[in-house]
Amino acid sequence: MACAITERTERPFSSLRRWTIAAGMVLFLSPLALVPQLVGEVNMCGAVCPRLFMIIPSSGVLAGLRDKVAAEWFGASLVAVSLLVTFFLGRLWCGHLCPIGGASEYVSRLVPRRLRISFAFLAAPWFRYAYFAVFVAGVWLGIGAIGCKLCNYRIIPFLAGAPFVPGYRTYLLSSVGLAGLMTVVLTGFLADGGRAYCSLLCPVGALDGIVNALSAKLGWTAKTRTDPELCVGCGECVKACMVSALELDDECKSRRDQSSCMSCKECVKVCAHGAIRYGRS
Amino acid sequence: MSDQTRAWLLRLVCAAVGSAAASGFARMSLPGYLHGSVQAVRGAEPATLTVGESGRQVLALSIVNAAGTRDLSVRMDGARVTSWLPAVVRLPGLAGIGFEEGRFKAVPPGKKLPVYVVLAADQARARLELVDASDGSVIRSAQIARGKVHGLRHH
Repeated sequence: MACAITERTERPFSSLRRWTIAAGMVLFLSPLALVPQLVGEVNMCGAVCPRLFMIIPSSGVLAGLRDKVAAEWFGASLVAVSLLVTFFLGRLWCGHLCPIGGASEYVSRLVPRRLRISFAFLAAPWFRYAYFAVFVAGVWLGIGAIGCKLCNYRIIPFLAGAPFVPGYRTYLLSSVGLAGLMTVVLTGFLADGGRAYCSLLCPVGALDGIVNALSAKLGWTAKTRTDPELCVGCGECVKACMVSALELDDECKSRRDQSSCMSCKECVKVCAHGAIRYGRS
Repeated sequence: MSDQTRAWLLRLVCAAVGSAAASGFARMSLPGYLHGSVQAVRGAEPATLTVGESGRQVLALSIVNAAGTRDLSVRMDGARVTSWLPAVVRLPGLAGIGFEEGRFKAVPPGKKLPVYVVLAADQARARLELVDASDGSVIRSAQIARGKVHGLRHH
């Protein structure tokens, strides 16, 4: 049975998330970059990087792990806290605070809908975890290192700092910088929902997604969940979701992929039938 | 083909595309940009850094401060030296690293300093010097030459 979903108007953007994402941008991005400065950096590289420590070196899983975690101590700690929060409360970092995904989302909302690129056709979890596996194990397997290439945790802070600091412009105008910029533009700024990079390429998001999906099976963890008995199949939640985590199944009931869900709770607000709730089941 | 078969096929294709994309990015090497690192150690042998054979080159260097100084300059004739330091708005009470015209100030020991050196297309070679700005002595030098490159360089 085909489920009829009406044409989408602009996605909702709750005022709470507007403010929390804005706060994340002030805390982490130039010109203030408050959090990086507190840990001796000026952007989200170096000790603040939440990604490089995940990469397994050629000498093995545990080789140099302590040194890597020590070098990127704040980023590793940020990921640990984010995973803990995700376990109990859902992906609050991704959906409410991350300045990188949040900045992409903000910009994407300025782009006319007809120019946006939809990635909804992809089976996102399968792409995401195949990409994540190579990100983590590529060096170990002899494929190579993605590392800082095309990293939006580099590109977006560098964009924020570029009007003020020449070094950022030097990087962004280099071949690698332009490739990264193009990636962020295509999978962030021009993506429908602004979060395709988050959903498909971000290693932190991939880890968070695993934890969210596993912990959602425990009824006592707070998650965004859909009650199929109350769902009438209107599809409003599907239209509201910025990462295509929701779809209507064969019975026209809303079904959620918890590994993709960013706990933004916009779907909770648009459901007029009380079928979607955030909390314990 | 049933809907279920089609769905599984899409999943497998997406997994294949995801791993292929990641592998492609991992192997990707773009011209005109190279990353390397140099230990600023007094008395060490001059480093040799090879950049691309032609065209404008951006060399991203991580310079590790192992020289026992907190005031370090990066000099290179004929090339522009930039950094992503200093902080745009320095927080009061925080002794952040300063950077102006190639000179880093208040650098903690062991800190990696991000430096971008831009070689013009018609520049064949250059000599980079790491200088203790407190007394003007040269800590270490590096020769930058054109040639075939093979990725990351550590010196």
